[in-house]
Amino acid sequence: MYRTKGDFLLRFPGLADISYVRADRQIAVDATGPASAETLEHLLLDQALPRAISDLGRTVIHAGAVRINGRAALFLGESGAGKSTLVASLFGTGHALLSDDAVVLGKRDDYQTALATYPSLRLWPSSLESVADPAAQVAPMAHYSAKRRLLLDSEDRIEVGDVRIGGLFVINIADVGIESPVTATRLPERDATIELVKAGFRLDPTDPVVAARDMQRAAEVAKAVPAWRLTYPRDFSVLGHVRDAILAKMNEGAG
Amino acid sequence: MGRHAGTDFEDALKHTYRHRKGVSVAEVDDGAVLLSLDKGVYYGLNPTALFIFQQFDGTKSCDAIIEMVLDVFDADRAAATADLTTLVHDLVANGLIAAVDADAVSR
Repeated sequence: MYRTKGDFLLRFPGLADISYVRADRQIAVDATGPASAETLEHLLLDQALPRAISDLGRTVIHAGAVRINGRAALFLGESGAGKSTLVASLFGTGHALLSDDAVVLGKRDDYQTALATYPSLRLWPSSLESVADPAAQVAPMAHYSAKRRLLLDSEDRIEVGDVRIGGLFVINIADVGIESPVTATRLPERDATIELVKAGFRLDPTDPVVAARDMQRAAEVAKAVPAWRLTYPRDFSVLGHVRDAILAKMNEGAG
Repeated sequence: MGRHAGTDFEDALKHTYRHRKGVSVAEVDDGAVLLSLDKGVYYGLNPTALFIFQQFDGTKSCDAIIEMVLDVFDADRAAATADLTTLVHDLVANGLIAAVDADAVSR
């Protein structure tokens, strides 16, 4: 990332330069290589947009999210932890989708909210085969990735408004046998705060003011919302048990 | 926090400490989280460690801080001293506090 006079240039070598002009609140995408339209859309929506929103003073985090019993369940985890797969699994069993990748944290009255940057669901072929509706329409996510983007339409259960956050789940895929139990262990607030801060999107990761702002917001959310570390084997066959554990904790949190 | 041996650890409590610039603190009900942007470090503090961190204002000696810990928390002197030593070492190593006096142990 390059910074010039307060504006930002996100450079994706061989693919695109995405510039963000703060004063105009405009994002411009310039292809600098043989990038497909899907690739440019992916870079814009999944890389530039969350950072631009962060620059507007909002805290944006890498998280999948679905609505369960009227409240948002947020899923945090490293890249490849299985956020999208879990979100797709819950979406496939009737829970409305917010996002598989990024949400904006907000506050309304005395509760914390999540708002999708845009509704998205992108899956690796193996996840697509295992958890998505076989009739689902898909498109490439980017020309350099095997991931596929589900094409969502108005018939799908999509949540585009902000939703009260009911629980945070930090995904911990364990390298254990599939007979190992699914566990949801309550996280101390300070650990939940750290997970939320680590998940933050920031236009300028070195900006101490923004980092401090996001950490205070993370602490507010961690104090208000229960968080669990969700541990389970990396195997699609256990996803039913994972969903059950999530529903139980969401019901517990709502009670 | 465990015990450690060695000159650096033994010397750590001879210094007076202050918070490093650029360190952000977010308090939660079960302690606090510190962030050092310079080091890219997040560090969780339990309530006792937070109390101690709050005393690193550049004026209080470690001996004085141990007395304060003994006043506020149910701890014995040996354990409090060992815990403070370990905490000081961790916080210095992670760029979260610095010794005020010249020959800092923050190397």
